[in-house]
Amino acid sequence: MNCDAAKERMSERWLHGLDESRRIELETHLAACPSCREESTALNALWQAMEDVPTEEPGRQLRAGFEWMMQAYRMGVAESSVRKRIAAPRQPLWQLAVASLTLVFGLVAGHLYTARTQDQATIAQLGVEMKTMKHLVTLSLLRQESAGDRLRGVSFSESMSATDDEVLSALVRALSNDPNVNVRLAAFDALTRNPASPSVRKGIRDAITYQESPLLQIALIDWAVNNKDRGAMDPLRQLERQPELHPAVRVRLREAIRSFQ
Amino acid sequence: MTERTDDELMAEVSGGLVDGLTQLFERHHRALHRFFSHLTGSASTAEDLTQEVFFRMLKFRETFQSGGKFTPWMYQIARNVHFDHCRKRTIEMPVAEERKLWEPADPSPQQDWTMMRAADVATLRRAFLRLPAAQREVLVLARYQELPYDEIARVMGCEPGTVKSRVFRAMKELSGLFVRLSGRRAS
Ligand SMILES: [Zn+2]
Repeated sequence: MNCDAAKERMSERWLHGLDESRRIELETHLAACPSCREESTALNALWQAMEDVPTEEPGRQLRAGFEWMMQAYRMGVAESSVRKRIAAPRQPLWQLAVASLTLVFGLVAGHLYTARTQDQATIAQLGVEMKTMKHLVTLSLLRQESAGDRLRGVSFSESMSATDDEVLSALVRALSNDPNVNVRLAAFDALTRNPASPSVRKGIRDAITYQESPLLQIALIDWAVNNKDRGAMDPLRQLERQPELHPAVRVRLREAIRSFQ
Repeated sequence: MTERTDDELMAEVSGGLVDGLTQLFERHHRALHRFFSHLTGSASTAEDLTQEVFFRMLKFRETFQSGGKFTPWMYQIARNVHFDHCRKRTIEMPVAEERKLWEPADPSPQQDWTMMRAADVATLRRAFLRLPAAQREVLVLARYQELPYDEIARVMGCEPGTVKSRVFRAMKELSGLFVRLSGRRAS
């Protein structure tokens, strides 16, 4: 047995153990080869020590996320909209929010159904109530402590057929102030879903100057380019002056500025 | 009634009976979470990535071929998820967080490291996180997921013999990093 075969055999021993004859072959080599012997002792100890590296159990969040996803999948109602969104997944938390949107939607619908049977309300009234409900749910989710809830709020805002001003300014606030980058990204995404009103445009231009996440910076730059938003020129130049830009952002930024010239 | 195998369940999911995924989740989410915890060093990142694997299983369910093996397929998805995660991370985060992960160890050069202690475990973990992603993957599959070599080979798309030498090389690399971080010499 040569040294290469001995190394392969050591590796085999870690995982499967060796039968009598294979073990003897290896040990014969080790007895005669000090460098393999030394390596074997050290690596065996390391292999053993790896056992002691602890792993944490997954939290409840994981199961909840999975259940949301299944729920969202099963609910035919929102399926088409969910699928459209899911086709371009941004990142896991974000998808979880998309999925949970359908759950919240279901809860609200369920509540309204009960309300209807109790109050004999008319369809028209229901429509109004639904709108108010969505409005309230969105605003209250956007104010929650947990980033996951705020993400849900952002997602939920998109289920409203015509997003109202109050919700839009809550989204602009989330884009500028939310401590969690996922929420900021999602809020930005939600804001760009509809043609931007002047106040939304201003919110986005402002964000260009102070957002520090490279992902978000790139998204904002792309937005300015795609919307041919000349008003974004100043903020882009301001961004360019920042000394510590991520190289990828700087490249994109130069292209953007060039495209305006 | 006999329990259905993973392969049978996934074949059903693939055919549109998605409820089977719940049972697959019950059977595998802990293992996947462990896989990602070791790879990333973060339990919460591991949760996100595990969630993503099940999401992709649902989304790409039709790519599972009936008669196929579920476990290697699942880990192939998991590796892709990890790959995407690493790629995103290089843009999004590394500065602050990695500095924390890699802060210098307290060196105790006199000791022989065949005797591991709690502090060594922390160092080992840091050393592990400095391995290139592909080496971390092969080691996690071999050491923590306890997958047999032929299944690892299927996940990695190589020959079982190649897996053995990759595991060896990764161990060698890990040992070098460990020695460097802990300031110890190998026995
Ligand atoms: Zn040798």
